[in-house]
Amino acid sequence: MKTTAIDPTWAWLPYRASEEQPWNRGRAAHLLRRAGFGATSQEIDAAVEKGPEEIVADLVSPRLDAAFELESDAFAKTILASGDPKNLSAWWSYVMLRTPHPLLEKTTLFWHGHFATSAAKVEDAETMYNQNRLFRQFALGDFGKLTHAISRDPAMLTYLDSITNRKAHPNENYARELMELFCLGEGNYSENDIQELARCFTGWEIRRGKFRFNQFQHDPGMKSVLGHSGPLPEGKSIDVVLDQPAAPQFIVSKLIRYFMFDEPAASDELVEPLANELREHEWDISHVVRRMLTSQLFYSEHVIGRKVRSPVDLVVGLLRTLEGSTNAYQLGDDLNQLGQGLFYPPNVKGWDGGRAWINSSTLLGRANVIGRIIRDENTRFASGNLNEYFNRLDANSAPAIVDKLLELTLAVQPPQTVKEQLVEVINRNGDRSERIAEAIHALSTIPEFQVM
Amino acid sequence: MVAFRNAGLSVLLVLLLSATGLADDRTAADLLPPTTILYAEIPEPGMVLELFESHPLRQRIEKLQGVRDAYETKQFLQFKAALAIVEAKLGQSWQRVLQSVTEGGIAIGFDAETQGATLLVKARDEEAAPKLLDTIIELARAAAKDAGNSDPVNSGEYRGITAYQIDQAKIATWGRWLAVTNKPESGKAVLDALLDTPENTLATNAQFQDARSKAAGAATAWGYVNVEAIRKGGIAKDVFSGKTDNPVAELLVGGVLDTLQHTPYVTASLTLDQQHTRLEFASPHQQDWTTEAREYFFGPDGNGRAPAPIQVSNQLLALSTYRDLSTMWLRAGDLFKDNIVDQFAQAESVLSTLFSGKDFGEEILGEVHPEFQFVVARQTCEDGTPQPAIKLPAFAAVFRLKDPETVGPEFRRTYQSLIGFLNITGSMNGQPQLDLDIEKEDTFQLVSATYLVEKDASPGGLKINYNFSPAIAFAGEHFVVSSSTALARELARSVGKGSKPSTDLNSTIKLNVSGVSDILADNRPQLVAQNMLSEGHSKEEAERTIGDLLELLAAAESVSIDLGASDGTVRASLEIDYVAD
Repeated sequence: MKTTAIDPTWAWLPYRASEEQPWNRGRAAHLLRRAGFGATSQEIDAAVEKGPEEIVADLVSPRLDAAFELESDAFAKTILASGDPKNLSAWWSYVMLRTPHPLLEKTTLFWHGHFATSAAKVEDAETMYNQNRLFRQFALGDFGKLTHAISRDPAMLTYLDSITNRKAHPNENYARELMELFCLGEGNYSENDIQELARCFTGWEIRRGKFRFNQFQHDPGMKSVLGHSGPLPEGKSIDVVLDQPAAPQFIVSKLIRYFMFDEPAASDELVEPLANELREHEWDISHVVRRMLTSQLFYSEHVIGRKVRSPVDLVVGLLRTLEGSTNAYQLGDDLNQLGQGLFYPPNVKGWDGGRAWINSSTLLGRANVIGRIIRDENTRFASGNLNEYFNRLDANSAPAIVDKLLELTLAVQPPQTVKEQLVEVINRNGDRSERIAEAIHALSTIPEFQVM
Repeated sequence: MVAFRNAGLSVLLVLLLSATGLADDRTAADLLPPTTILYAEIPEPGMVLELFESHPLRQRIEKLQGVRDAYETKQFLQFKAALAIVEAKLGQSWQRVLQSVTEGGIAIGFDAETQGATLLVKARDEEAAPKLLDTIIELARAAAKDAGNSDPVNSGEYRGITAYQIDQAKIATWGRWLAVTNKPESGKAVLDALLDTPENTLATNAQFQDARSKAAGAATAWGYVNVEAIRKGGIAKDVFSGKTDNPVAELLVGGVLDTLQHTPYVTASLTLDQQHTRLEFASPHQQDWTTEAREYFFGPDGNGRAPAPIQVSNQLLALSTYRDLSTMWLRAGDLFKDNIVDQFAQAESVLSTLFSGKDFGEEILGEVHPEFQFVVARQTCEDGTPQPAIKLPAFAAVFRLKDPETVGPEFRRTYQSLIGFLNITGSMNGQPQLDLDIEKEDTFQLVSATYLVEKDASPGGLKINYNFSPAIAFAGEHFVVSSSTALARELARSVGKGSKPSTDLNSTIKLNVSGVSDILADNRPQLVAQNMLSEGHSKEEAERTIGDLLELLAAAESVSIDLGASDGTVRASLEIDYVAD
């Protein structure tokens, strides 16, 4: 089903606060959930103060904190010394919990799912980390440059069995995925285009973990790709793919699904204005993301509460919202258990997302993971326990704690009976922190907690 | 208020449980039944308290940032407030309370017959113990009242002595004695002993007397375990079964298991002072208790002696021991459980292939004298060797060969084959390659392999492989196999100068704690990063935690573990030497 009901002209007009759609804590929290991994009460206050345009401008063009960047890089290199790619999951979980640039990190995660590459096959931690840096470098930048860079990326080419590509036997894997999964989508190319594009990539090799162009194995002959003919050397073939009208349309529709709503799929009419702008702005992803996050559509009922939380949104989101810190190794394992192992996407298509995150089994698993994390001995909330945390927010009574919890964590408010049950849980005898943990565990089982 | 009173009660129980006492001239052993199978005593708790107050380690611990932070927590402040209440009630500081209540010593015993544990405290005079008991009762009642609970204290009379029950603890005082037990029968037995002075007590038990007579003079604490009774009771069957599933444990302490299967008792002595902590276990031992399978451990006549430990620069650990590895290997079926024996068989197959079809247990290990040394040393990379990002210590084993002229070439060939094999498998996995080299000095020959550094490798951030430059060395009758060429060279030079006389011990291990601290400091960035990930700490918190760990390690100079059998006794000791301030 396509979103024919949404008027594209109305959709992409800038959001203006009004009586019907006021700029309030609820909408600010919605923005910070979608453009990051949730927000603390103080961050929501600051966002309400600034207004949507200023806060989105800050998110899309973050003033990079040099100290944090240096520390993060040194931290990663330290982790890499172990040589175990599994440690990278812990490292990235930690970075997501602490990053001052949540949109940058969330978009990096988007590209990880888009150009899906798994450490299960690549095995080398440093190669995977270098790819992750590449995603972060171009996350809100030039998609064209990112595509050129990923086409020479050792992790990607290793994952797609393209470490050798000889003119006598062109390897079609990367050529196929470049058009089907990375740039155009199905139906926008032919089998012949795949074979011709594969010839363009002959001689592109990985040797000792690095990209190398082997001119002796490159096919310098004439090729015909997507209607363009010529030798198409040195990545010119990638420009041919990127020049296709379907390319910006494909990328924008994926960004809409990631940042706005899972279902129904965005209609061509809805996608087209932003696709045109993406082309006009020379593949600048930050422009399109800014337009989405400041649009009327983003703050409407078509978007609020219309995305299923991914495991990262669910777990990292809850911890960031409550200023939580925890054992990142365990957190990485938990994400893997819930189907979103960082650096370990299931296949080259990445994570399906949306409703695929939810079934009777995963629903129980999601609640169990939340219950385990909030009770983990290494989990702290602003360096204290849950009771101390809510006291700091001036939420001292059970109803006040529940109100604060629901405001911070939910895009869609649950029925009154749910609130009453949560209050009852907190009011039971026993340790108050444990009671709050039990309430959060119970909250994590309700349908409203699964969406954002 | 409830929290304060509960904490106050806890403080008193802590005081009690960590205390000692005074004079009629009976000891706790005179009051405990002869069926007591576990016994421990601290004769002079006051001295322990003084040592605790002035010990350099305590001062060092109190300076740690983590401890300073803990002193500011709500729980600790609550504890301090409760302590102040107790001190006010008793009219003196907690240290003086502890000293007066425990001046005559403190002891605990477990009686096999009643299954009861009894704590006995002997106070300075007949007023101290009842006063403390009254305060305990008062605080327990107040805490229960504040919590809206009923009176938690029950009392009853036994032969004119009032005994109290608070939760599971039964408490009574008589004269200078205060007794706490978990079983009424145990309590009655102690009160009977206090009133009647019975003929049969733990103190009159011949086995206990024998153990007592062999105790070192000035132990800070002393303990006794009636192993015979435990064995007969069918407890800890695995310990006494004779077979293990842990080859390393067997190698280190297997011989002691034979002793435990026959010995009547084991004693433990703890000696504390400002510069040392020494814990010694002792047990009667007879050579004929050692089974044939474990002759590899103490030697056929029980006189196997460890060679003099080798010293190298930056040494972290040195282990020197008598062990007949060939006999142990060949006797694996008698020593280990079936699953481990299967693994020995598999290892035999692989190692025989590596050693050109020779029988590993008989023809390879059989060429080695029944002794070996193991050395671990910090690598400084000062000689220009590549610096890996994670810095591991080097380790080496030193053996004495029976016929070096014959087996030396065999070992050298095997080493070269192994390096070739590692290079082939390494190249298949994109690992760096090892480069072989041979060097000779007057007293030794060294065959080494060093990882080649790739052209574009980042200096100081190399893979973990670069910790290793495997080498073997031949120095006279000594054979060295090492993870690092530098360590092999130093060991070969050292043993090449000639052997020192053997020790009078079966095994000795010495750990240089400052060296451990150095190696942790070498890897500080990794430790901080691991702490951040595993504890969820910020970088500052992780730095503080690791800093505290290093500071704590800096308090100790060395840890030594010795094992020996002589004069009908097997002794194992652990000694910690602290850094002098």
